Amino acid sequence: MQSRFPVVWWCIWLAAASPLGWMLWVVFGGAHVVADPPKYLTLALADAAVILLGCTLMVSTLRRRMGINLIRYRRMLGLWTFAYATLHMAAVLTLLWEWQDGLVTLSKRPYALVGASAWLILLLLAATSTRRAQKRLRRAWGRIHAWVYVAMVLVLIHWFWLVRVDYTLPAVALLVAVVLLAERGKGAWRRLMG
Amino acid sequence: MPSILKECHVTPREIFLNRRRFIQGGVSAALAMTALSGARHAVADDRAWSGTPVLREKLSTLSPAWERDDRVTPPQYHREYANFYEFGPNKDDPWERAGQLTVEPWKVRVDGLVDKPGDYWFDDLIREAALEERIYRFRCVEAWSMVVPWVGISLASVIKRLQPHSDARYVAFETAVKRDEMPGVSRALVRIDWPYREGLRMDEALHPLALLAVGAYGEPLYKANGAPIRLVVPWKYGFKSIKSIVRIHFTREQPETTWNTLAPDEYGFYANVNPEVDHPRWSQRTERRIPGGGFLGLSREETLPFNGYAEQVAGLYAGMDLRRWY
Repeated sequence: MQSRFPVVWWCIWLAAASPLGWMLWVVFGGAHVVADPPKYLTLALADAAVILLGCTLMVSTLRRRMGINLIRYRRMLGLWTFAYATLHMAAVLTLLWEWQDGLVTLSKRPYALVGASAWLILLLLAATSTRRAQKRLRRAWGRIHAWVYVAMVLVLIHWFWLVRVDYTLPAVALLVAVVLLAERGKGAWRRLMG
Repeated sequence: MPSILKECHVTPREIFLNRRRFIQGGVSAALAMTALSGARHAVADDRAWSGTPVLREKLSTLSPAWERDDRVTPPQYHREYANFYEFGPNKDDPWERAGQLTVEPWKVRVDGLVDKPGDYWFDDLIREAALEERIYRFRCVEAWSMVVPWVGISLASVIKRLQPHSDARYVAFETAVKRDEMPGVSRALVRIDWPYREGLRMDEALHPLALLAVGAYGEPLYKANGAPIRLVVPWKYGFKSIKSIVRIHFTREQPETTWNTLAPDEYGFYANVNPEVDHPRWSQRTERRIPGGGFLGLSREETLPFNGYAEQVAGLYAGMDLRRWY
């Protein structure tokens, strides 16, 4: 796949990796005051995961509405989404919370369970993202991957649940989600229900 | 003033600090400070506040001890990492945006159940009072903490001068709302009902540890930290220590306070630091001492009851169920 347009592939790869590079630079580069690295990393990784999720979902919209076909790069974007979500969760469990009782804390915090459920869906999607899995699962593959919409809704719930004061960013994300779902019409629902 | 002269008293402060940095700091810390001091010189003027002549005069007679105290959080972390929602929801918003705040002239309205109500100029509030440095632990409800060398006057001395009535059981405070200078105030989709409000029970307000701070690190307060005058209540979570105060109100009933109104199950009116009572969304047993706290902030410190001031203040709450009155 990547052999046809390796330059585009690498550009997208670098763009997707750049938030991680930026975070490492901020934390270890010495040019920024990061008073509270656990909190910074947790939130920055969450932002990156959300943005990558949006980009992944936008791929098919771009193809349908604007004739821009980036479908060959969608798996990469999806895997980066999973990577950021995983790092976000790891940061929460190991850096933000006291990691020895991270799992106890998780069970006590419903908003965290919602986030963890979204991550489990992403894990399933990442695990079945290979060409081989795609061939093996045939029709079921599309249905499984429609669960990305469930993950998206869970992410929004997780986010709104955590915000106490400033709803600007989650509101923007909600707006994007509504537009993406509206653009798909009943298609998303039908795929999900098989 | 102790008669012992230390190196920091005779060496120009910058040089002294540099030397200390050189001795203490790791490579990355030194790099960070170099980069920072470079960045700050360009913009320092409006972020810092030079203070009124009265304040400058008082500060000049003070001999700060914080430079000799290595537990103290380096000043740039205190200045650049703060919650001040009037300037935006992020920790660096106050530092980035508070420069435009006008803090002179500054008036504080005193009203309610008090013998000497009225509008007090900043200078009139501090003129008679003794300025002291108090090095306090500062524990945020978000589980991070700093050690800050405040400079201020005891809240009790101000309250006594204002002569509240005997039925005034609470003191309420309000932060300035300056729409033109505080971009956070006009943000849409922000749930805070301005002005930011806080309050103390009268006996808490009269406690000798409660401070009206006008400076930190031997200088007038930076605008990001609540210039020109703010509250510091070291045994309570940081949100009680209201910034840029424009109103002091004496009342019979417990006043409505901002965070308590926003999420009563998460932020109590008392908000005494208590490792036994978790925030519904995280544990309060430990805290991340800023800056860093070791690699990626992994090393934590035990949070102490009343933030380590139990000996002095626990008596205020004798007989109260602190799980209920969190």
